[in-house]
This record gives sequence, structure tokens and C-alpha cells, in this order.
Amino acid sequence: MDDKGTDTNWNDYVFRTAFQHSHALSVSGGTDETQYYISGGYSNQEGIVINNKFERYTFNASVDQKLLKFMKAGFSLNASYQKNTGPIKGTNSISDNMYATTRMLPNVAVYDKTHPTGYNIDVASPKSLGRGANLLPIDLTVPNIVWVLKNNTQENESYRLMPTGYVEINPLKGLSLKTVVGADISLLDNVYAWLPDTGDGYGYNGLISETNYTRKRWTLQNIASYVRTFHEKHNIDLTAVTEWSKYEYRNVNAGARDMSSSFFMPYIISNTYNTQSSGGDYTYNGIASYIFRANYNYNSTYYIGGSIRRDGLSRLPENNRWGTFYGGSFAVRLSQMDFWTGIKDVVSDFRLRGSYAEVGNDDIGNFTYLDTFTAQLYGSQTGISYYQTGNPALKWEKQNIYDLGFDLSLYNRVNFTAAYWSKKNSDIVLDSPTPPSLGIPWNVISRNIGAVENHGLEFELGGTVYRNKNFSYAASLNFSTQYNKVTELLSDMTYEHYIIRKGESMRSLYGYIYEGVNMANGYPMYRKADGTIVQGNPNDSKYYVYDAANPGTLGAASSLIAADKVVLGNTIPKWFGGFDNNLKYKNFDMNIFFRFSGGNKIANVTRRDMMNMYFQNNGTEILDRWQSKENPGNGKVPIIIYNKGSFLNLEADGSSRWVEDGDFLKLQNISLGYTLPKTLTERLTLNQVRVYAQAQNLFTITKYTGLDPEVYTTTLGVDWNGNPQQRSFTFGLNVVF
Amino acid sequence: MKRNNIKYFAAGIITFALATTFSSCDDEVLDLMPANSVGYTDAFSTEKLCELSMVGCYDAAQSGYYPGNNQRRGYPFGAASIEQGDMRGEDMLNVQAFFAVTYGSTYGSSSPNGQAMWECTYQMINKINICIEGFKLAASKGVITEAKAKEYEGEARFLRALGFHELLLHFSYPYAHTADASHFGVPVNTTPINSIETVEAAKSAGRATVAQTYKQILEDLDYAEANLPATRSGGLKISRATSGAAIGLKTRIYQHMGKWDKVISESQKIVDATFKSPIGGYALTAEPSGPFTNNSGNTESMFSIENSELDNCTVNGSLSQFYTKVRSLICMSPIIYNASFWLASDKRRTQLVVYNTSYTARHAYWVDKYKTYEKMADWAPILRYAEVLLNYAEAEARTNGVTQKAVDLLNQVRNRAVTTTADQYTINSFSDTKSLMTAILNERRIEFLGEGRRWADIHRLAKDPVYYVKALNDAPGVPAKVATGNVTAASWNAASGTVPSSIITIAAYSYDDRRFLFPIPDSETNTNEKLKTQQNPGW
Repeated sequence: MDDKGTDTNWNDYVFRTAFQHSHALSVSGGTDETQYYISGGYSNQEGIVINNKFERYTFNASVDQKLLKFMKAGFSLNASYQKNTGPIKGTNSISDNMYATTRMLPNVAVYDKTHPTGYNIDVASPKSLGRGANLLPIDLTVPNIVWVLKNNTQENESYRLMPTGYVEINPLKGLSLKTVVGADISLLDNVYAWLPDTGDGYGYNGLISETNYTRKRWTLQNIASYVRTFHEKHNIDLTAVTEWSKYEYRNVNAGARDMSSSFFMPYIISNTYNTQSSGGDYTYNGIASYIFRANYNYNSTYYIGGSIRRDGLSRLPENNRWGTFYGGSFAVRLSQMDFWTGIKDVVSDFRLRGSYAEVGNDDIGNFTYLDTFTAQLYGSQTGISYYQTGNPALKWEKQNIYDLGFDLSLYNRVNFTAAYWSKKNSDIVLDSPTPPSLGIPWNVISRNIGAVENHGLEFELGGTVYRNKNFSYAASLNFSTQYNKVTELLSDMTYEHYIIRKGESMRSLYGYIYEGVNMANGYPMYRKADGTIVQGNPNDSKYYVYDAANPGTLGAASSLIAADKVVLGNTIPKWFGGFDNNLKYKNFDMNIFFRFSGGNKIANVTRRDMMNMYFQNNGTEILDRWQSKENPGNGKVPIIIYNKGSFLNLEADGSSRWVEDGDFLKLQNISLGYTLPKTLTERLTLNQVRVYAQAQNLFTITKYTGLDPEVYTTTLGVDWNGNPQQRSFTFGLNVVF
Repeated sequence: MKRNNIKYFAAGIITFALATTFSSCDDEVLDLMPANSVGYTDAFSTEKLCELSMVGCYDAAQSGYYPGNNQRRGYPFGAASIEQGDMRGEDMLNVQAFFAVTYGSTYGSSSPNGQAMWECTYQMINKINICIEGFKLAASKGVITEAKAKEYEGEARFLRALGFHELLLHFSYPYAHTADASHFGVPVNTTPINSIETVEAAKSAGRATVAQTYKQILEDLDYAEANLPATRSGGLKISRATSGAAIGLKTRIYQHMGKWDKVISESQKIVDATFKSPIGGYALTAEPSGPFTNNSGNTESMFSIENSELDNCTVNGSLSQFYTKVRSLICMSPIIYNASFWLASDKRRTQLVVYNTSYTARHAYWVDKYKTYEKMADWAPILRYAEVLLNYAEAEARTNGVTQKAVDLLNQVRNRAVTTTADQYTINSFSDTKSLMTAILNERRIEFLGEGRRWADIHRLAKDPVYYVKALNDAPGVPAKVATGNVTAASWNAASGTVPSSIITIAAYSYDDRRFLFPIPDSETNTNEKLKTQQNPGW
């Protein structure tokens, strides 16, 4: 500490209690011939990070008009504008709000009156946080995050228009022919600006980047449907659909660097910079579908249905472009049958149901089947470069979905549902890794190489627990299990923290087994595949056999290699559910909603990063480290040595040291409302007035030591500097005219 | 019309309209080809596209990706070969955490630097192999002339040779490790790999021997020499390969093989009696700073990788960010700064060294070769004429002992910086070959400081019985280094000849320590059964 005893809690400067408000208004009306609906909304949410704000305006309108007795037409438009400001994210970026905040030195101040910016910025190392009384500035030139958040800009503005129009005719009773034309057009303007004074912008002498994205999708749909009941008991419902949809994506980027003055930031103003750059991209895809569905039920007792669809996808090579998919379903309402009468008073409704469907997945990336060269620069020279190895055999990725269950109602008051489901994905399109020494671009080829099986059980129990004239209590509890297994894969696909491996759950955590600290010397220990325990010597970055009988001396030279890595746990929760409670007393209403989930593991990489051995703030876990034989810590945290974090923490690999249980119970929502008495509202010529207070994400019960067991930044199960979900309190007013 | 007729009429029109739109709609949404990339065969379908494909090979040399985030960090040759080469040696000092892994040799088989070097170099090599086939195809179709196809192939093979050699420096023991260089080199593939089938076929090849790898490098360079132009217009003479550059690179290759007669014969092609090159007109610049103050237009740079303000190795790779006050990541080490063989009056101490305590008062002296700072436009020096002269000098001294020729060659480079006659060498300055050799090897450390050549020398000399770089217990290996946390303002004393041992705390290790080589990365051994069995010793 310096002589002033500076002890800064950076969280106090970066996070805040945020204010949110939103308003909505809707009007509808019409005659027999014409119906209309108009609504508008506004919402304004401050984030818990100081520079984070979200604003949205929405407008929806629709009109339906009867043209002839058998013909009608309509038009609708959804328009919205939204603006998202901050925060500054980037998992491993030094200006990321979580990354930087957790690393700020606690013994220096946020502000410094003597610095021209007023912030504590290092004079000698201008990218970095000021060193205060320390002899060194912070490592890795992490900037003063409060300055970054208050000065640098991260802004997204988006405009979205979704018009649709339709014409529908009914030439015969029960027959409808409808053509729908729709579009979804969104314009996104993304600006980021880094001021030159310090931080990321220093190395560029200021930088602005602005990108305009245009996304357009148009859809043409023709729907023919026929719904009729014959002889009162035979109900049929036939539908035929043709649909074409095309999506286009463009972006244009403009960049400015080496700014004349930060006065002209954050927007690009001509003649205020020395280096300019531009870029852009254009791509598209399309899908065509022909669908036929038929459903029949007899007297609302027996149900049977079937469907067939043929989909064509531009993302697949011409020969494999079309896929045909079938589906079918049935249900029997046993409670409608004669033999049920005896127990109908108790089991008022009982339905047995099942379904099967095969569907294709169109989310497989554009043109991955083609070999392509893309444009590249070599300094001042323009070129093209082999960029993608195609796979002309690429075909539809499929999913088979089975479902079997029953719905049951007791005394018309309690509902119970139980179902078994199974989803089998096959021919999954994955980036199949190739040996890097062969030089395939990015070392991957898109291939249909995987199959994954998911199945589980779903239960839901709900109903009215108690009801009288003034008071009612309804509750529902749902619980689901989920089992996931990779059933086919060409070869292991390994990543820094996880692996995709046949026989294991999808994206299982993967790495070395940590065996704690050698209490004689503070070295970290791991278990090798052959069961031996090795210790890592930070002095030569090598591994030696650990002998419990003789811990003070290094044993024979050993190693810790990729073959010693094992699966450390599944990232997909094995069970999850919710418990919803609704209470009403006279004009008061109350909701309490819990969520729970578990059976999964999380790699707490944020915690690993907070144990880095640089001159930066560290987590309190470091207090338990091995310091000497006499003061060996808790046996879990090894010796620390400056700049040796990559070895002592195995920073480029997964390790069981950072893997934690992901089980949690969360109070997701609690709210209390009061509806004004009718007598009062009618006097105000209003239909309904309700005031309410709501708290969300009030608490979480979990053993997980990170901020939030539901925060993942890179992939499911990997928590790396994620922003936590916020706890919010809302006070609201609903008025119906 | 009756109501019913109107109904049927309307339904009929709609049905007809739908039917005719079906097929055209299908084409409209399905029959698409990319607008932002060129198809494989189209890439060589015109003269212009052939040229663009050629440039693409250089781009692959300049800016590969970085594992994990795909940022450009100058792998392999845009900046990284220089930075890694310096950080594996002892003459440049890792100031912050950025290069701690390489500098402290704490890398493992999943460390991103070694992985990026391996992967990006092979990305480049396969692009080259694909282009060579493409150029031949284009020539056979008359799109480009036979001569142009050969010239392109020469450029491509020049880069390929450079790539294979860089891989050998990091992943294989030097040529002299075994008597016939039959130890593991690197996988050598010279055919296009562009499909699942070709991947499967090439997978089992495994590592070539070092002798085989060098054989391929020399075949490539001989081809390049024969088919490349001697010169090109403007900056292209430096940023694109020439026959002189191919010969110059051969002097380096033969030097690493210890084939001194070949070093001499190749050097003689491009060093005349006046120490200029009859091929391409290469010559030393008048001042030591010449190749750096004008890195795109000087007589000395034989090959550099072009960077520009708009296309460079980014703030996370560029030389002008890392070696300077901008990011302050790599400064000079007192080991070289204080060395007595580097005279205090040497012009390179003023022209190419800058005193800058902006990061800390303790890290005082920085290499001043990369001068565009925030703009990151410095070209990355790969081969300079000064190196050819010193390679020649070394071969001459090793072959013929202390000769006037060897001393003259050394003096060519040294005397433009050491201008006081009394300090300059004459043939009488050297009592024996060893003293001359030592002077030449020391000169290389000074002249190429901050250009990544130090590791190449440590590596190639490791099996040299006399001139190896002394490491642990004075045996060959990687020498001890200065730790950044230990230096103080007092650590720096030009030409003092002493470096306090208290600051040299990063321990030396020996040649047979596994850290002498980078491990083959996990990304390779995880996907290649053959290479999994051919990992470097100890990894």
C-alpha cells in the first residue's frame, strides 16, 4: 500500500445499481369488414456496468380487410429501433470490463488529478493503469478500466422492419388458399472508438471503426388448407405449403486511425485522421420447402397425423440439395371412452400421445461444400488465397425426434404430464479437424461425421392447491432429465477446455487431473494416465515423479502429455426444472418462481485467470497458496512465481483444478401486484389498472464459486470473464382502456 | 359472372400463378454461388487471377492466424519468426509478460506460439503447393506463358524453402546432430492437399529426415535461382523473391548444413571483388541504418516481408509496436549491450539503438530498427546482403583460416559502423582462426540484433565442437538470460564487458534438454497418429 493506504474496490466504480423503465400502449378495433391493431412501446434499461445502456422503440400495426365475401387481405408492419451502448466485451481482451476490472491493482487510485485526463494513467507506460506507489506498472498494459468505460465507445444501433402482406380466399367451405409475402429487413450500425490517451487506442493513436450491416430476408409462402368435420365426428385438417426464402447479408466497414484530435471522436468525421481503411462482405443463402400435413381425429378421442416435407438448401451441393423428411403422431383420449366413466370423477381427463418426426438442420454455414479462394492483402499488394477446402459430399444433417407421454387431470384441478423424449441427430455437419502439417485452411473440412443422442423424461405437476372466494393458490412444478451422448464421430475433436468424443457427452470438459500441492516444495501435482503422480518443477518447467514417502526430492524425470488428459465432466445439465407459484388474495396477486438445474460441471477459467502470476490483482484464493513447508496453505494452491503462471496453472490446457459443480437453485422471480377495484377504475373510464413490484434473480444457491453458474462466454460450460446476470427490481403500472 | 364462377376463376389464377413460380423460385433461392470468393479452378483462369494467387502465397507468409482467436500476429514471417527468434536467444530481453513463455522456455505442446509457427507455416506451404499446380495448369491452357508459370513457381518455392527451414529451426535438431542427418526433420509435402481423399493419403507420411528436408529446400532454391528475375521494379525487388535472394538464402542453408565449400561457391555468385552483387545489384548501404530508414527501397535488403499501414501484423504482432515505446515488450539485453566486443563508438549504438525509459527507468535501451510505431508498416527483414557477406566470411575463415578475404568480408559489414581506423580489424588483428571466427560470430550478434537471427545461430552452432554457444556448465545449449524483474538503470553499461550475475537469473539449459526444441503441437498429434509417434524427445 502507498502512504495514503489506498485500497480501491474497483467493483464500486465499474458496477452500479441500474435503473430501467419501459412503457407500452396498444389500440385495436374495427368493424366486421375491417380490423386494425396498433401498438407502440418504449423501454430504457441501464446495465449494471457503468457505460451499459439499452433503449428500444417498437411500433406494430396491422390491418385486415374483407374484400369480397370469400376473400380477405391484410397487411402488417413491425418496426423497431434499438440502441445498445457498452459494455466492452472480449473474453481475453485487456479492455474487457470483467477481465480488466478483476485485474486492477487494489493499491492504486482510480483518479489522478495531476494527469491531464484526470484518471490514474501511467505516465511512462501510457497504455496502462497508473502504477501509484508500485515500482512497476500493471502487467500486460491493462488500462484503467474506469477510464475505458467512461471514454471509449461501443455502440450498436439497429433498425428493423418486418412487413407482411397476404391475400386469402375461401372458394369452398373449409378450404383456404393463402399467399403470404413477407420480409425481414434489419440495418445495424456498429461503432467502436478507442481514444488515443491510453488503453487499446494508444497503440493506434486513436481508432474508430464503424460497420453497417444489412440483413434482408424475403419469404413467399403459399398455403392451402382444408378443415372439415364430416358426420359430426370425423374431423380432418389438411395443409399444403410451398415456401421460398432467401437471405442476403452485406456489411460495409470504415475505419479511421491516427486521429488528429480525440475531440472529433467517437464518430467518423472527414479529415480528422491520417490512416483510413474500409472493408466489406456480401453473402446469401436460400431455402425452398414443399410441405404436406394431414391430421384426422375421431370424435376428439382418436387422433392421427402425418406429414411429409421436401426441403432444398442452397448451402448444400446440387446433388445433395434436397432432403425429404417424414413425421407422424397419434393421441388417444382414454377418458372419452365408455369404460372410463367409472373413474371420470377422479381422473377427469387422460390422454396418451406419441409422435415421430425427422427434420433437417439448415444451420450449417454458407458454401462450406465449395473450395474457395478469398481476397487477401500482402502489404500494398492485392491477392487471393486458398481459404476453404470444400466437401462435395456434404448432405443434410438430420434430427429424429420421438415423443411418448400422457396428460392427466385429476378432479379437473390437478394436471400431471409425463413424457419420454428422444432426439437423435445424425450426419451432423462438423468442422472435422485435419492434421495441421497438411495445411488445409484452418485445419478443418466440413463433414457429416457425427451423431448425437439425447433423451430424457419430462414431468409437470400443476394445479390449484387451494381456492376460496378471496384467496387462491396455484402452483406448478416441472422437472426434466436430459441424457446426451456422442454416438458417432470420426475422431476426437479437442479444444482448450473441452472435447467432442464418441461415447461421451457433447462438449465434455477435458484436461489433466490435478492432485493438489506437494506440501514439501509447493509444486503442483497431476495424475498421469498410468496412475503415477507427477509434480511440475517451475524452475525448469519439467515434470518429475512424486514419491509420497520422499516428497522433498524430485523423482525420476517424467512428463505430462496430451495422452494424460481425461474427460473431466459433462457440461450439459442432467436435470433442470422450475417451481412456479401464483397466489391471489382479493385484488392482490403474487408470483414466486424458482428455477433449478444441475448434474453438470463448469470450467471456472475466470478463477484461473485471477490466479495468473503477473503483476496484477489476484483472487483471494491466492492467500491459501503454498509459501513454505511451515506455511503450506490449503494444499490446493501451489507456490506462486512471477511470470510462471502458464506452467504452474497450465494456462493453455484444461485441468480438474478449475472444474466445479454447476448445480444451482435460483429465485428467478418474485412479484406482487395490486389491481385497483373496478368501481374505482370505471370512474376513471378505464378497464383495468394494476400496479406491481417485481424482483428478478434475487438469489442463487450454488456451490459454484464464480459469479453465476449460468454465465458462459466461449462455450457451454466454460466461464471466462462473463458478466453476471443482473438482479433487478421493477415497479410497474398496467392500464387497459 | 356468378359468385361461384368468380371463386373458381380466382382459385384457378392463383393455382396457375403458383405452379409457374415453383421452378423459378427454386432457382432463385437455391442456385447460388458465392460473391465474396473465387472457386478453386477459377483462381487460375486468367492472367490477373494467377498474379493474385501468387500474392496470396506471400500473404500466407506474412499473416497467418493465431490459435484460439484467429487474430493476425505475423505468423510465420510477417513478424513472428523475428520475435520468436529473438526471444529464444539471450541478446534481446522480454520486458513484460507477453513473451514470458518463449523467453523463459516454459512452453508446452499446447502453447500457442509454437503451435502458430507450425500451423501457419504449413498453411503457407499447402497454399504454395496448390498454386504451383495451378500455375502449371494455367500455362498448359495458355492463360500464362510457360516462363511466367516457372517464375511464379520459383517465387513459391523460395517461400516454401524459407518455411521448411524455419520449421527445422524450431522443431528439429541441427544438421550435424547425426552424421548423415538421418534424424527427424519435418513433414515434407510438395503436392496439393485439397480434399478429404488427399488428406487421408498424405496423413501417414510422417516426418522426413533432416537430410531429406534440406534436400527439398535446396531443390526449391536451385529452381528459384534458375527461374526468378534478377531484379524487379521498386519495392517489389525486396518484397517479392529474386534470383539473388534465392542464392543469398542458399548461403544460409549451406551454412546451417556446415557445407562451407557450398557457402563459398554460392556467395561468389553474388559477391564480386568490390563486395557488390553482379546479380540484382545488391550492396551494403552506406550507413548501418540504411536498410531500416528506407526498408522498401535500399540496395541491401534482399528479401523482406511487406507490411503496410492497412495490412500488417496488428497491435498484437507488429515489430514497430513490440520493439519500441509503443508496447515496450522487447528491449535489448544488457548481455549484448554491455558486451565489450561491441565498441562504445560503434555507429550502430547510435543509429539503431534508442535510449527510452518511458516504460520503466530500468529498461533503458531499445532496438531502433522498426520506426513506424503506431502505423505498423515496417517491412520484416528476412535476408540482408550483410548476412551474405558474413556467411561468406565465416565459410572462408573455416575453410582457409585467417585470410585477407575473410577479414575484408567481415570489415565490409563492421567498418561502416566502426569508423575509427584504430578500431578496425586488419589481418594482423587475428592470431588464429578461432579469434577471427569469434569476431565474425560476435559481429552477427551486433549486426542482426532485433532481427531474430540469434536463435538460428544458437541452433546451428549447438553441435559445433568449437564455436557452440555456451550454456549450462559451459556445454552447448540455451544460455542463461537476464530476467526483466532484475534489471536496474545500473545494469546498462555500454561495452563494459560485465553483466552482473545477479540479473542473469533465467537459467541456462543444455542441448539435450527437451526445451531446446519446440514440441510438435497437440493440434497435430491429436489428429495425426503417425506424428504422435514421432514427437520430439521428452515431450
